[in-house]
Amino acid sequence: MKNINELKSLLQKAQGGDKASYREFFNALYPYIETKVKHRIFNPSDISDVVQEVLISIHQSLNTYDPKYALSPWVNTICQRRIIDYIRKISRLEDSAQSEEFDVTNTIGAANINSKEEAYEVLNLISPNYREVIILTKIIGHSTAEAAKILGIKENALRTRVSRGFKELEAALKKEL
Amino acid sequence: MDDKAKFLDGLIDDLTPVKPLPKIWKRVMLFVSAQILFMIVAFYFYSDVHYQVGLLKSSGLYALQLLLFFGFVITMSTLTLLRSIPGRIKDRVLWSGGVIFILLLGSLMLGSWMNFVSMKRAHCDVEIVIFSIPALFTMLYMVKKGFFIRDFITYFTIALSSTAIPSFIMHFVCNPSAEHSLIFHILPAVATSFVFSFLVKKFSTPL
Repeated sequence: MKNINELKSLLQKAQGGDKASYREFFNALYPYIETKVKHRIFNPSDISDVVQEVLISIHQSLNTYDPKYALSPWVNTICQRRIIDYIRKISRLEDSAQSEEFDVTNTIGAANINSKEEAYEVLNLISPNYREVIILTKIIGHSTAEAAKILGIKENALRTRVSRGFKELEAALKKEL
Repeated sequence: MDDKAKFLDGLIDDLTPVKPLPKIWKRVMLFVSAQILFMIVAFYFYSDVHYQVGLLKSSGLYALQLLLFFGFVITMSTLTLLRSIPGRIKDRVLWSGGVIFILLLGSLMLGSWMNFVSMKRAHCDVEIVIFSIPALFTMLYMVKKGFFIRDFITYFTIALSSTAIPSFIMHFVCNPSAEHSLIFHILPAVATSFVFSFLVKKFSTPL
């Protein structure tokens, strides 16, 4: 990892259009951003997306960096904002998942599912990751905390999986019907 | 080539020399002076204006109120623009605008025991809302040039820094008594800011 002054001078050169310095800057910064994002986001599949969002924001905000000021607060603020955006997006997804559950219930009703066995069969239509969280929370009836503990994942990650699982299930059922 | 390398290549290919944003104080001065000039020109063509120059000369408290009002305009504009530069201010610093606002309210309260008798403009509250529209779009444009944070605080500070300018001018061209100022100059500015930020937040495209 380069020291902060080296990064600053690379960024300054990049502001002038020097692509080689820009590449060096990103290569040096990437692991730092990745570590920061990993500390806040627990769903491994989303980490690279958020890291890319942060780098795109850095790219779009190059004109806001003034070399007279420290680099770390600039990078950290951009990183923090994108992580907050991600968390907001996820919580919005969870909210919509709650209302979608009713839609899914209707779709399941239309699929004529009367027993747990039939429900398990329907759940075979979706990927195993999503299937297990839906079985644990919606069929067996564990709370989010209990299910998260069983699977060894964070509660937020579990909620996200439930939400995505329902979406996948709904899409799969619509296709089946 | 893996995804990470492809992604970085895309960003690097897209790099063009950037022009750094002008200094904050220059942008604030440009914004505030342009909006004040716009209002003066608009007043000139649109209606008779009675500037409170006499009152300014005779009352120290009135001068203080105008000074605090102007300080509030400058502070809000500065904070709004600073927030669009990553890492330059902490969100809690935004409360410094609130401190000046409280001082302004305090000076207005002090003035309520004095007799500021003056003519009022017929529709000063509506004028404040209408005159703040160009300022609102200008500030939105200026903030979008930087790092735009799509949250309620951003929209509220943009709106408040825009409505504060006509509100400040109105304190100089309308009845500056405490009651009138609070109800017809300050309340419309704050209410418009709340409504604007609430609506934009509610109807803006989700992330």
